[in-house]
Formats: sequence, structure tokens, C-alpha cells
Amino acid sequence: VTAAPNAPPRAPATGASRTFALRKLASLGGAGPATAALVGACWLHGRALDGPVALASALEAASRHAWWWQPLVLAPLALHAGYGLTLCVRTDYNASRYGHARNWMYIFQRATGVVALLLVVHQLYAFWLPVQRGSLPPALARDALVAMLSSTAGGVPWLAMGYLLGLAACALHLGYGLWTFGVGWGLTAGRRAQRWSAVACTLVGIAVFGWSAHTLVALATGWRLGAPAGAPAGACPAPEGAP
Amino acid sequence: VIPPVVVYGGGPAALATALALAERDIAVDLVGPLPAWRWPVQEEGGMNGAGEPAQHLTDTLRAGGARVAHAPVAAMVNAAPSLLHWLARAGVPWQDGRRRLPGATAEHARFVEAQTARQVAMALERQLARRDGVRRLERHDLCALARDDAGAVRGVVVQDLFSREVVALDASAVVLATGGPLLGLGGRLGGPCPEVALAIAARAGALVRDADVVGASLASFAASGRRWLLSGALRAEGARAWVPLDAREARLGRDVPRREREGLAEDLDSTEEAAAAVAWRLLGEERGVFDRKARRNTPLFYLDASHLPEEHLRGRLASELDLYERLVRASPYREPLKVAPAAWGTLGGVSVDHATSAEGALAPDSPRNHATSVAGLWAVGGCTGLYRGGARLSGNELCADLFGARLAAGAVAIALDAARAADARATALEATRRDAERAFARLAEREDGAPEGGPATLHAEIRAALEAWALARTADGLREAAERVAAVRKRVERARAPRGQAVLLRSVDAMATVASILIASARTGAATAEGVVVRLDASGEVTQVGVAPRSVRAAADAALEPASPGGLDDDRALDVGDAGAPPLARAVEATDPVDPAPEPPPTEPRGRAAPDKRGPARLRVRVLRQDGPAASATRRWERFEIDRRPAMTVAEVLDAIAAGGERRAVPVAWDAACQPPACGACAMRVNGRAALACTTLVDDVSPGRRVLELAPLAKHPVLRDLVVERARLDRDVARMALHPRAGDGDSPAAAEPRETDRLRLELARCTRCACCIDACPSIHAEGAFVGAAAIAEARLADLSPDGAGERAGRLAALMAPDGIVACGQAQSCLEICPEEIPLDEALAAAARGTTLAWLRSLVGGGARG
Repeated sequence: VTAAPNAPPRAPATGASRTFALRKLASLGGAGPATAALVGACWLHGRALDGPVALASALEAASRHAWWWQPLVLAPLALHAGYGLTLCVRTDYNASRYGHARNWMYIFQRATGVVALLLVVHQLYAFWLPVQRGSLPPALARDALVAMLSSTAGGVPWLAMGYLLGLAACALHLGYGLWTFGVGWGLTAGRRAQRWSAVACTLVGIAVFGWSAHTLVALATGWRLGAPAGAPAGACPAPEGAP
Repeated sequence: VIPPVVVYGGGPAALATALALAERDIAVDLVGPLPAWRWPVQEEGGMNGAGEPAQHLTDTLRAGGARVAHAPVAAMVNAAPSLLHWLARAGVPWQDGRRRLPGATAEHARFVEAQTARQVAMALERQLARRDGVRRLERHDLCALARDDAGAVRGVVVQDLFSREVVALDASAVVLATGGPLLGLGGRLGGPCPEVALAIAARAGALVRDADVVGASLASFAASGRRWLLSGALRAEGARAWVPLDAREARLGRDVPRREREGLAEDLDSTEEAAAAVAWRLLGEERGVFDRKARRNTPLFYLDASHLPEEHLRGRLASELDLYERLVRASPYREPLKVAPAAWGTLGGVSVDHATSAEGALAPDSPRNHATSVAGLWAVGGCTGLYRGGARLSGNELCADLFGARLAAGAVAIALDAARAADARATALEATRRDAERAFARLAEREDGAPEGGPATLHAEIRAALEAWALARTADGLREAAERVAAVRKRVERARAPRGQAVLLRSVDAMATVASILIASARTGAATAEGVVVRLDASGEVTQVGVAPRSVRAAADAALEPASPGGLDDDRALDVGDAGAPPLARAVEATDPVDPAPEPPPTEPRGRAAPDKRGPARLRVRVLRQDGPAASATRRWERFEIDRRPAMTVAEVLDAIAAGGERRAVPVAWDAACQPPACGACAMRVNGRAALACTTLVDDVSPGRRVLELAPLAKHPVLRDLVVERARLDRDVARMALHPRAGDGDSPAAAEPRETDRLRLELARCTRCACCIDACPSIHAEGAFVGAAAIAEARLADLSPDGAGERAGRLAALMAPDGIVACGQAQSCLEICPEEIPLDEALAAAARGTTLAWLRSLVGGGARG
């Protein structure tokens, strides 16, 4: 006889599980430190538009305080990334059958997370670590950045395009992530609150993308929003030797 | 060790009985062919007990007439207010206000939209889930009662419907709690079959009482090849029944001016009386709704609620009216419904006893309460005749179920006799099991038959034979029904079944047996107002018919009053109706309400698959099949092709496959229990998306020539074909949503049903169909996430009057790794939910609650609510 025993449910003796706490912290890591890191990076790279000295000064300040902000940002970011990658694997991707907008956003959130992670890793490897190790002096950082972003292969600026894609992914990930953070933490429980938070998060995402994309385009091409029409195109001249 | 008490059933009566026994620390085996609470339920319009008890009793006695057993009915009426109160504490989200149901002179009933019985069943299920000592044997059907030499029931023999294993269950007592026999009138072959239990009990010697009293519904509508019964709630809310004054009125119902309408049954409160009166007007006087295409009058009438505010109707009857709107594709909020009266089954059943004190009041502490005429066998709920007079008043059936369950549990507790000889029980059990096994082997030899003349055909014929007579109840109709039932019974004995469907032969055999009981009872019933009992022999033949005795024990000890052996040829019983009247029974049959499908509204096409000139359109169907739970290697796609009809549901497609299957093909197995979409049992993947087969229209999912693809839900273990095991979901729900145990004491929070908020009512609609789980991308493997249904249930428990009691436990469960934190907010659950429950609100509330509890625990230690 196959019988389903009627085992009365028992509530767990303790409160939150370790998994609950870890997931909450991972989510918090995305909404807090990771957001701060993204905004900080936008600001830092935006300084490059004001010239090599401004960027060098910002980099030196960041390096000076790295002892406290690096662990505060990188550790939560690592937790957030690790948790996110786990989620990417542990998902039943079914938007082909249930193709509503939120389900697509659920998938985009994972995809953009992976792209954003690649961008962060590349930026750390190609820019931040050389600055930290001293192989890239802050005074030359702007030139290196411009060289990197304006490089082409076969006449196509692949790296800049990749960065643009990465920034779009970061912005989308941030905007939707902030919205899910609000829902997941119970900050926006009602439908009205969720609707307004969706508007606000979309605006945040657009703003971050606009800001970062403007910096990227300006560094890569020299074009800058609000610059005088007659300004020389080479406001950010490519260093010697650049293709 | 005392063996458990076997409770057979799965509706409110069975759940209440199991709960009452569990509360007494008596071990229970809850057995049934479907998971408990997914059984079909009735009395969706409300439950009485909220009005003045004296008036309630007066109405009940008036409705029941001479057949009311006064003492138990009076006790039931007195207990009804406390039962309502208990149910409120158990989580039934009673709506504000009261309802005057058909037959009542005052507003006695509390209600939950038009799904009261289902909400009561769910509340009982939640309470039962919190009790020890209840073993569930789902998907097991009753084969026999095992009796010792003295005739006392010592156990039951049941059969696993999938493995076909015949199993003997030792029992210290057996309680039948199957609900009322539908006699095939409203039921669906293949679902739970209360007739099986009734026929087995009758063949074991249990008297059957008042089988001739047929329950009727004033309004039913035909759609998708089935008949759907409407509860009395719509009429109770103020809907009017009418037909056009002009029998050849060609205008649409909404265009007929009020002065050109003739009201129907306006002065008749009782549902049965109103249904019979309307049937006479429609058929005897050939009134009805004119069919413009066929140029003839059809026996339908208008049930009009369009004068009531739409918001009011949506708030109180949305579950029922939305179903009509979906299937008929006409708005019941803006135009009158086209409906027909229908008979749905008998209100009689196994005759059970009750004990009275010297003053004539019910003696609750007697083992005779709810005892049948067979020792060791009790019966509760719609399958009995004890409250049948009382149950004739709409809204009393649930009172009878719950009150009877408590009474019967008390009786069983007193009667349990630990000193029964264990070896005698074992001998009786094993012998009965072997007999049942042999009997089934004989049935199995009759498998592999052609679909024509098989169980489906016989079921339809029994239904047609009884239906023709049930509403109009003329002498000619009864005589003809008797002849037709007798003919069907003979054919049942040698009928063949499709492969794998021998169990259905058992069902139609039981239906035919009960139908013959009804006929025999009806023939005598006209001669007496006290009620009639019928006795069968072991082969199922009616041996005695007599006047209902005051005591079942007296009837068991002494012979029945002299009556007609065989019962079928007793002329004195034929003095019913007007012999000179037109042959109304034939007219009813000729205008079977299933056939005249309501005319489609002119503005909306009912389907895009209209037959072309070359013949009816064909529908190609692919079904993902699997032979058994441990047979994943047998997974395969099979192709079928059937005639396609407009407005066809997926359930209809599966029925068509079963009816017209190839000789060698085993019909596709799928779960179906209810008439309205209330049980969630038929959830499956339709073209890749989770959906309910009973309400999903083929035209919506497979327009044109697109192949219809059916597969089982993918995130639950497959039992066979499209049937999945959802016990894990039930366990998850019970784990996440600890509902407070409802006690009998007073609760200030539930003292008066509070103003029910909309969210609570909407959350309570969940049928655990598991569609949300199938659609959830966060559930990639077992144990990843419990899903929205369990979280919503937890929220519902939060909102119940006593919800604060277990809040800490629920929060702790929600904070488990597979709890709310695993939700990815894809909101597929919200998109796919057939009941359109605001699951996002439940999930967000759970997120907020757990976050606050976690933060508090970080500060102060320990999760608090």
C-alpha cells in the first residue's frame, strides 16, 4: 500500500536559516556596495573628461582610501556575483512558453549580470590592478584609457562597443535589481508602490547608462555633450602609437 | 493495538469525520479515489446557521415535509451557529452579510461567493493537515466490506487505481462519507463515484432510504459538451427567472421589454419545487426561448441578473459567473443567462440510526448515532438519509456534514471494541480480499472491448433513463425509466471496457444498482410520506421495499414491512402524477439541456473551427504519455485525431479521445473531479503552458489547424499519462502555512465574522492546481522554492481571525532555504493563475514579514511575528 502519511508540519525551531541570511546579504550587496561601486566608477572615469590631472588626482585619492572601501565593495560584490552565477545555473528558463515582460526581465537580469561581471573583471584587470600595482602611473591613466577605448580592429572599435554593451547591461541590471530589491525586502509591498518604484528604478537605470555612456563615447571619440560645435575633434587625442 | 477507523470519501463530510476522530486520538485511514478535498462538492451557495435557530428549524421542517427525522435535525440546527463560528476560526473567509437561499423564509446562510462548500472543505483539510494519526490512501477505490461470520464489518478491501493492487485494510470501524449519489445525472464517469460505496453497503445489507427523492437545480447551462450546474446563490442574490410572453419571440433576451416577460417560479422558494414547476412550464406548455436558427422553441429560460449592479455580482458570484462568461462567451453581468432546470442526483442514501432521550431529543452519546443496519459500518453526509428531509432546505447540507461527522465520530469512539477477535478479523479480511481480487480479475477479462456499448455508453443511458423521469415525475416516465434501467443492468453484466478501464465497469454497475434502488423506492415512495427504505441481496437485486422505520436497528433486527419483492412491478406505487398528462418525460428527454447549447451572442464568434463543406473539422492531438510512476522509460508522444467542435474544452477533447479511442489503445489517464473549476485536479500542460483542462478552450490555444499538445505538469512526479502526484505541494502548503488549530471555545477575533477584506477572499480561491509551480522559473529542481501557492496560503493564514497564533512558526518556515527568499519575482505565477489570485501581493507581504523578522532577530534574537 502506498500511503501518504499525514505528518503534521512542524515549524523550524530556529528563525532564519543561514541560506536566508546569505541570500539577503547577497541581495543587499547588489543594491548597496555594488551600486556604490558603479556610481563611483562612473564618477572616477568621468573625471577623465576634465583632463589627465583630474583623473590622476581622483585615482590617487581612491588608492589612498582603498584599504577601507575595497573590502567594503569587493567582498559584497563577490558574494553578489557568486550568488548571481548560482542563480543563472539554477533557473528553469521558460520565457519561450511564458513570455510576459517580467519573465523576460527575470532572464535579462541574469544575462546582464553575467555581462556586467565580465565588464567589472576586465576593468579591474586592465585598469585598476595596474594602477594599484604601479605599472600604470595615475598621470598616464587617462591616456591609457583613451587608447584602450579608441582602439579598433579592422576599423571597428570592438572594445568600446563591448564596453557600451557592458554599461547597458550594468544599467539594466542595476535598475531592475533595485526594483527586485525593493520587492524582495518588502520595501514596496503594494502594487502601487511597485509601479512607482519601477518608474523610479527605470529612471535610475537610464541616468546611469546616460552618464557612463557619455563618458565612454567622449573618451573613445572625443565628442562631448555640450561641447562647442567648433571645438577641435581631438579634445582627447589618441596617444602616439594608437591605431 | 486497535486498528484504525477507515473513512471513505474526500469531501467535507469525510474530512470532518477524519478530523473529529483524530481529535479523539483515534487513528484514521482516509481512503478515496481522489486526493481529499478535491472531491466534487455541492452547496456552494452558502451554509445555514447565521439566522434565528427557531426560524431555521421551522424552515427546515417545512422544506423536509414528513420525512424529516426531527431530533437530529433539531440538534443540527441548534449546532449550526457554533459550526459557522468554528469554521470562521478554521479560516473560512465568510463574506459580510447573509443570504436567503431557496426554500428559506429568512437570511440563514453565511457564504463565500459561490464556492462555500469548497472553502469549507479547504478549511477542514488545513485543520486535518495539522493532526497526527491520519493516513491517506489516495487513488484507492472501495471494492468490498470485509465482514466476519456475524456479519459485522471488520475492514475494507480497496484497490489502487493505478497499480490495480487489491489491498485489505484492517478497520475497527468503517465510516462511509462519500457525499450524495449522483446517479450519473450530474457526475462524470471516471471521477469519484459515490454510487460504488452505496451499492457495496447495500449489498452488504445496509438499508437505503429515500432514494426516490431527487435533488434538482433550477439552473444549468450547456457548454463544451457538458452540463454545468449553477448554485442557488444567483437566485438568492436577486436574479429573476423568466420567459418571453410570446413563445416565438425572436429578439435576444436583453432586448425583450420587461412588460413582455413572464416570471417563472416567483412564489416558489424551494429549489426542487421551482425546478419542477419551471420544467412543466417549459415542456408541458412548450414555453421557453425561441431558437432563431432552428425556428423552434427550446426548453430554456432566462435567469436574469442584469438589473443588479455588476460590482455587487462580481463581489459575490464572480467564480460562478466568470465560468459562464468564459464558456458561453456571453456576459452574465449584462444580459440574461440562458439556462434549463436539471436533476443532479438523489438526496437519499444509506439509512442510519440516531438515538433519542426519553424527552425525544437527540442523545449524542450513543454508538447508534449514524450507525447503519450493518454492525461496524457508519455513514455520514450526503450518502445517508438521516438529514435528507433537513438537507432539502438549501444551505443545510454542510451543516449536516459537519454536525453528522462529529456525532458519528463520537458514536464510533464509544463503539470501538478492542476485544474483537483479531484472528477472526484477519480471516474475514483475507477472504474478502481474495474474493475482491477474483472479482476484479473477472472484470479485467472484459477489458479490451470496443468503445461502443462500454462504460461511457452505459453511463449515458442510465443518466438518460433517470433524467427523463426525474424532473417531471410522471407515471409513464417512471415506468419507462424502470424498463430502461432494467435493460441497462442486464447489459452491464456483459459489457466490455476499453483497455485499462475495467474499474469503470464497477462504477457503472454501481450506478445501475443505485438506479434500480431509486426506481424501486420511487414506486413505493408515492404511497407513503414517511419515506422508503430498500434492501438488496448480495447480488444487488432489490429484495425488499418498505416504509422507513423509526430505528435502523429495529429494521435490522426485524423484517421490513411487507412490500413487493423485486419492487419493480408493484402497481400501487405507480399512482403518481397525472396519467392523462402529455408524455412529459419523453419531452424532457427529447430536449436534454446538454444538447441545446446556448446560442452565441451575435457579436462574438464562438469558435474559429466551424465545419467546412467537406465535413467536420478534425483536431490533431499529441499527448505525452507514461505508463506508471516508475516508468519514465515508457514516456512517449502519442497522436490522436478527433472531430473538432466550436467552443470545445481540453477536457472535452480528452473525453472524446476516451470515447472514440482505438480498440487497442488505453485511454489517456487524467485527473478530473469537479463540475466547476474548483478542484484544480485537471491542471496539465496545454501547448506547453500550465492550464486547467476543464476551462481551457481549444479555440484559444490551438486555433486553425494547430496541433493540440497535452503533457503532464513537469515539476511533479508523473503517476500516469497526465496525472501527477501533488502530495508534495500539499505538504509544502501545510509546512509553510501553519493554520491555527480551530478549537471549540470562543474566540473574540472570530466572534462575529469580520468585514472580509478582498485579498483574503481572493487568496482563498487557490485550488492548489500547481500551475504556478509549473510556470515558476525559480523552481528548477525539487526543493528549490515552494512556489507561490504555499506562500499565498501562508498569507491567508496570517489574515485569518486567529492568524496571530502561529505567525512565528509561519515566519520561520517562510525563512527556510526554499521559502520566500528563493522567489525570483518573475511573476509567472501571477500570469498563469487560473483563479487570477493576486499572488504578487502575497509574495511581497511575505517578503516584508520575513525581512522584518530577520532584522529583529539580528537585533534581539529569535524571529518574532
